[in-house]
Amino acid sequence: MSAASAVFRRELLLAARRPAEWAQPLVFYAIVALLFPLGIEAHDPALKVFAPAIVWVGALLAALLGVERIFRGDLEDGTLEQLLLADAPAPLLVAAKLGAHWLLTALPLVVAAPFLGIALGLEPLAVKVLTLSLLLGTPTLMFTGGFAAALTVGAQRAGILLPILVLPLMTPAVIFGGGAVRAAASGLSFDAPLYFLGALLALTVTLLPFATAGALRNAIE
Amino acid sequence: MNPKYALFIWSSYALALAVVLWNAYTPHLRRNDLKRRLSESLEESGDHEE
Amino acid sequence: MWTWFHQLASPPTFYRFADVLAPWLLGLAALLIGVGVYGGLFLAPPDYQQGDAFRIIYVHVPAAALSLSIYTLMAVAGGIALIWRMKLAEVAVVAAAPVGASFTALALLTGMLWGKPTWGAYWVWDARLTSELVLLFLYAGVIGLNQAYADPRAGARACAWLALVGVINVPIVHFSVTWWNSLHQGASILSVDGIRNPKISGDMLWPLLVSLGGFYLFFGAVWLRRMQNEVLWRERNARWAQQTVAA
Repeated sequence: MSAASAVFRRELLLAARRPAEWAQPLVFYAIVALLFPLGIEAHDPALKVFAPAIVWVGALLAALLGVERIFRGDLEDGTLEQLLLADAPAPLLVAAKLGAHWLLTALPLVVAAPFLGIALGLEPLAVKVLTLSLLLGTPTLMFTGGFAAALTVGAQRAGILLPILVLPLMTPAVIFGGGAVRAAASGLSFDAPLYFLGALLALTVTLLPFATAGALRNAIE
Repeated sequence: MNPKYALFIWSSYALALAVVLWNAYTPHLRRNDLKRRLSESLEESGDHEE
Repeated sequence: MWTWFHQLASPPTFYRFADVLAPWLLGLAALLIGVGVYGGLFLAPPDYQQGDAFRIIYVHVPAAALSLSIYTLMAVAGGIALIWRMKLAEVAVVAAAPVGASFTALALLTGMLWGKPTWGAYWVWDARLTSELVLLFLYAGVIGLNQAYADPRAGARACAWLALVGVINVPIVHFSVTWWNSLHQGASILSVDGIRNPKISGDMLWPLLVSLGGFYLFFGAVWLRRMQNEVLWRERNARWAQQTVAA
């Protein structure tokens, strides 16, 4: 357990030394979302209709930005090997690392969501559901992104492969997240999509670390 | 056959044929290519030995 | 029986085995596909609702069924490759991906050509079509991932992990028509209800089953051939490979 918290704390400490790095996704996210009102007339009712998609796609792109960096630094300085050689189970340490990453990269997005939602013209209920959907859905984005990063970190000629790999894995979260907010905005029941997001959360956080650790092991062998 | 569907039906079967031919021929072509390349490099190393 | 399996795992034994089996599979496949397609195009009666448009089923369903089955086989081979570190299983994963991708694309395209005259739309973003499209991207990911690695063994193992994680999409595609409101037709054959109360009449069903069988055999032949090529390339410095090439 202490190994996991050590990994967790190390991520936060490293990020504290380079605040610009983890602020980037947040800034990017805000820019993407706020560009839309600039592109359309600020009070265009179409903005409200597309707001869920805009915020969710913004979150996905912001998550993608940070994902490549998750394991590359550790691979290059040898920390990755230490992580995999440690007594503590590798999947647990991977989960701790990705959890810290979520705290740094995704939690700010969740906090910023209400402001963006209101800026894009959403009603209060829709804004609440938007924030909740992001809270439930961003861990899925982080953990699937981490899995994809683990697959490509060992590849020599990865190029633009990472986004392509990540897209099919992240689509369900975006579909249900956007769907929940749209339902709330139309006055329909939004329970089902939120439950699906919860299910995705449970699945990815518990099972993906095993696959991620396996892929990392493959990368250093 | 009903003419208004004919285009869709025949295009579908043509696509299926294309996929079948692609799957049948690419391994065949690759195999010939492999054999050629490998036997060439074998000859080369054989000549170097002598 | 296990000794046979163990022996098969040796690359030269597999290569010889595939050389013998593949032509038979291919020949039988050609026969079945020919009969199935002929039956589907000319012998089966037109549908009372869709007319002749339904005949696309005889290529669409085999393509879609294969797209799912191939991914599943890829995932199984991937599991075997990762657990037992079996070289041939690694080769199986990598060899299956392009074939699966081509059939997924075929399923999507024939589906679009079937949808336009019957639903009025080439595409809708419903659960079945979207998840099948996701499957195509997963295949593309496996293909791309393999090419991104310099070491073929590490690349194949990375692909095995991707195949294993992505396989969850396969039941999603299959059950999407039950779990969500979908424009796409429900399962007519491969469901408990579909087997008890057949939803498709016999004279339309037999060419479909024949065609399905033919396409599956075709996949078997193609998979074997692709695996042979991969094995030959990987083992190119081995004596048996050099002898095969020189022959």
